[in-house]
Amino acid sequence: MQCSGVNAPRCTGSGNERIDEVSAAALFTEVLVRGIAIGVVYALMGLGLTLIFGVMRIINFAQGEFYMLGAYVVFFIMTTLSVPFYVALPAGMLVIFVLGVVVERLLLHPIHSQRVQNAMEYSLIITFALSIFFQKTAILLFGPFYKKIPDLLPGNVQLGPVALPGTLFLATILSAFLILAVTLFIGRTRTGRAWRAIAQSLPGASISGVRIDQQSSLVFGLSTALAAAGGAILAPFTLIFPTVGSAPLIKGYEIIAIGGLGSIPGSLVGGVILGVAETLGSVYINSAYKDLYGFGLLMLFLIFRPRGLFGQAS
Amino acid sequence: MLKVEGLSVAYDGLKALEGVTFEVREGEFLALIGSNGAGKSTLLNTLSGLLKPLAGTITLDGERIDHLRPADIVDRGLILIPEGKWVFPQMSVKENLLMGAYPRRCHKRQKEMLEQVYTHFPRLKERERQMAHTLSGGELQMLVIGRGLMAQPRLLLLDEPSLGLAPRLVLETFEVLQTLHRSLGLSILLAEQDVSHALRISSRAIVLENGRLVMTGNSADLLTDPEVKVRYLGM
Repeated sequence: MQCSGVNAPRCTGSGNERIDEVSAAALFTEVLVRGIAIGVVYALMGLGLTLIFGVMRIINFAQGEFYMLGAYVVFFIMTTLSVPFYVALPAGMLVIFVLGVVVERLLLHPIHSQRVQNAMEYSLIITFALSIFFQKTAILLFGPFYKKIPDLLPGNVQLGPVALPGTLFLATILSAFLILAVTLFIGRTRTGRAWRAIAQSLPGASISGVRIDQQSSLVFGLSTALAAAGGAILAPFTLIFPTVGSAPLIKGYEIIAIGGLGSIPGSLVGGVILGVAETLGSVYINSAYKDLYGFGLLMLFLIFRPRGLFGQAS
Repeated sequence: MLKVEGLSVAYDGLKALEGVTFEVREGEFLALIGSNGAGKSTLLNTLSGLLKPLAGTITLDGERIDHLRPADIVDRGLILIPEGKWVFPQMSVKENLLMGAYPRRCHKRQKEMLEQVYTHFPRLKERERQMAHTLSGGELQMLVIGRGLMAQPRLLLLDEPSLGLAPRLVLETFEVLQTLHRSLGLSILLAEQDVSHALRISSRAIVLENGRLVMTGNSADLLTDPEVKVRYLGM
């Protein structure tokens, strides 16, 4: 904070007041930056759900479990093969991508045929069951105890006036990189264009020669891989346990309700808004209710703007 | 080229087509005539694999295609042009056209085809960068026709390309179709409510009524047929 010249009328008070104001402003900046940083990681989770909803028109209730499995897989790759995080992360994403494709092929494939009348209902039940199945399997395989991925970047990173924990800084950079890569892929490649085509007109994509079922498997795989990345990236903060995916799933849906169902920019903006709201609320109101601020925001949006920021009016 | 035999299709639980039999010959321009709700769209959608028949067979060049998925049918060069709908509203005109060249076999000549489409429809070239949802009804019709051409069709199925168009545009559209038919040797199955135009540019025609085929003949003969005159030409 600079405080000089005639444009700084607030600096005229006594020395103590000045320091209070400066530190209050500094605190606010720091909280804001932290909120944005965590929001970018949240946006990664919103993006995965948005892709699945946009292309397949279904809600994936097991997304949180792919998040959880991603964290475990990356943890075990790191500990058993003793490779660094940045090697284990893409490897873990690949594993979950394959798992996602297999799950789509085995369990969600019927929604592409005319055998399933209501794809949304079908997929809700299937993915809900899948979520329970993965949680119980995780307890069975990995035990109920917490696992921890060590800090990625110990110490703080100084960003101008703000000191950000190194691990959070790296988490934000990694998430931003993944979001950028995915949005470029969707915007610039032939396959990405086909995904947008499916989202905008399913019959139009069909008669243009897009194989809806194949593309859906890819989209589902990519989305679950993004969830896995989110799980691994946040693991140093949240630890890893069988039900670690429940909160991110709820946050993911808060994000897409805020941003607008099926909108990619919406999921990014929604993620950042949620991150900022949680951090602001935690610092200025009470950190015990951290998860409540998202719900509050969600309720406000549902009442005053149910289609979200970027959603299409139906 | 395309043989349809005893085709029955249900749509929303109602029988929309019953025992329809006809063929499109190589290089032929066949008109499909019928009033609103006669089953024209259902027929075209079934031919392109969007709907599955209850009974009957569809054969393309001697191969059964009625069990194939839409993408497989597109790969065989049978392309549907829906009536000005099913565009991708949040994509530019150019991207919409490029979606037409999505099948792998179309990649090589993609640029060349795009130029060709722009020659037929200079209006699309002007609006190249515009989002499809900003187009007028006539421009949307051009866009879906252009998208269909991008797929390098051998047999083109057109669903009411004149619907909602100003009379001048109808003529233009039909002229383009005729050019494509003559210069590229494209086979065309044209579903139309604008019966007099359709009969003038086609060589043969079939007439659908309440899901059944009621008449088949040379277009020139149908133009003078007393029943057709009364029912479809308003004379």
